[in-house]
Amino acid sequence: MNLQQLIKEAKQGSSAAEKCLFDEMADSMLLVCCRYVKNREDAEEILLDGFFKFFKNMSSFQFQQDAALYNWVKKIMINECLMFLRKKNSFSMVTEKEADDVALQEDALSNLSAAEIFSLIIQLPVGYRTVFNLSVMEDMDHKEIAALLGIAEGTSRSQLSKAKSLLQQMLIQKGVTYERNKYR
Amino acid sequence: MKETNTGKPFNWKDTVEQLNQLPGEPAFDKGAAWDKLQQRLHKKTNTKKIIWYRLSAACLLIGFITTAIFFTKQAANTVVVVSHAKQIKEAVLQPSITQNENKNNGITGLLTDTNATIHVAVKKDKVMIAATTSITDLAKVELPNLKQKKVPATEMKIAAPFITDTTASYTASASASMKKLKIVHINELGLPIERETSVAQNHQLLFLQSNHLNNRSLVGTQYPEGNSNTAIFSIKLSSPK
Repeated sequence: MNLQQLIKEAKQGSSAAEKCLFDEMADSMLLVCCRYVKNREDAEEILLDGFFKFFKNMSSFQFQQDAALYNWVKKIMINECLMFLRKKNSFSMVTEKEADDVALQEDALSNLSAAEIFSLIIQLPVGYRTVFNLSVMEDMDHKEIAALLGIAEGTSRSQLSKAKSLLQQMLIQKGVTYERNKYR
Repeated sequence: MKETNTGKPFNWKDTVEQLNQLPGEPAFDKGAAWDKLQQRLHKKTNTKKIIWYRLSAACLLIGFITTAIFFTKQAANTVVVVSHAKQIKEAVLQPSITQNENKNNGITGLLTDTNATIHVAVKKDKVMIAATTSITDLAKVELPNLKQKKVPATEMKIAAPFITDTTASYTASASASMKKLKIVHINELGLPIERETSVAQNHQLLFLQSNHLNNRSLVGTQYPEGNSNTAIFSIKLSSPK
């Protein structure tokens, strides 16, 4: 059964369709949650909260294509993660002067497996990780990130720079070469 | 680690999304998670229902309490219609009045004519009002605590009257401001009701305040009976000029 059919049945109150949707998307969404919230238990709790909201607000969703559904659910999960982090006061971002932009050597990065990349990301401190995720993984610009997190654009940029610097250090430890580009 | 060089910009997103499950972690137990989620979905619905039930119950309770308070107040504000001194005893004997005294520390009177003299009898802790004719002016009369001997001239406070009309009924109340006063029949005191202030002699003269009462004046005189707790007042309501 395709996602469109599942959505249609779930909207009609089919519990079986809801379960199929959950089974279909739970793994990938848990990974999204774990990228923002390091703790596995917290991530699972957020996942359930996210799916709860998804099922509750499903009636307002107009199915167009599978990717749109995934993006919508992913957005719900990200919002839930950010809410969770805000509640825990995890963001301790102060306005700092912008750091040099750092470019990781892409060839070296491509040598890493997905699991290794994932491990690198979740090792970042929560502030860096959040900005890195929103900027690099979700393709948001600094203006959007600043609005979402309630921080200055400069802070967002500096957090991203620092995240990349830290990733470089981690890559060095892993024996990956890097280069540093200064834009200013 | 693989040693490959594709030459393409590194795509973090695609790389990470290749993952099927968390690295180095046990697989996600979707069955257990689904059970939890289903419980939560079900529980939330029940909670909503319970909230509605509670809201309804609270509304009913508030309605019941409001009604109860309203009727209790009505009972407490029992009107004592005393148009003639003869009726005083009868009125006092009514059980509702006794209840009123206990609750409100005073008497409520309905006065229904323009020209009248109201006799207020005070003995110990009780107050009684009588009107020689029916009157329309209504006033809330608060009697002073007669036991306060230090007060040189005891004041009787009369609140502003309601605007009268011919059909409406009004309520006047007399209550002891500090202490509940006993209501007795005016004849039990055996004293003449006069407005001569000189009769008061060594006793306190009670003045009535708020003499405007729609251009009508009130005069009060105390006639003690040797007992400091006993007094009689005459209140004259004259017609507006």
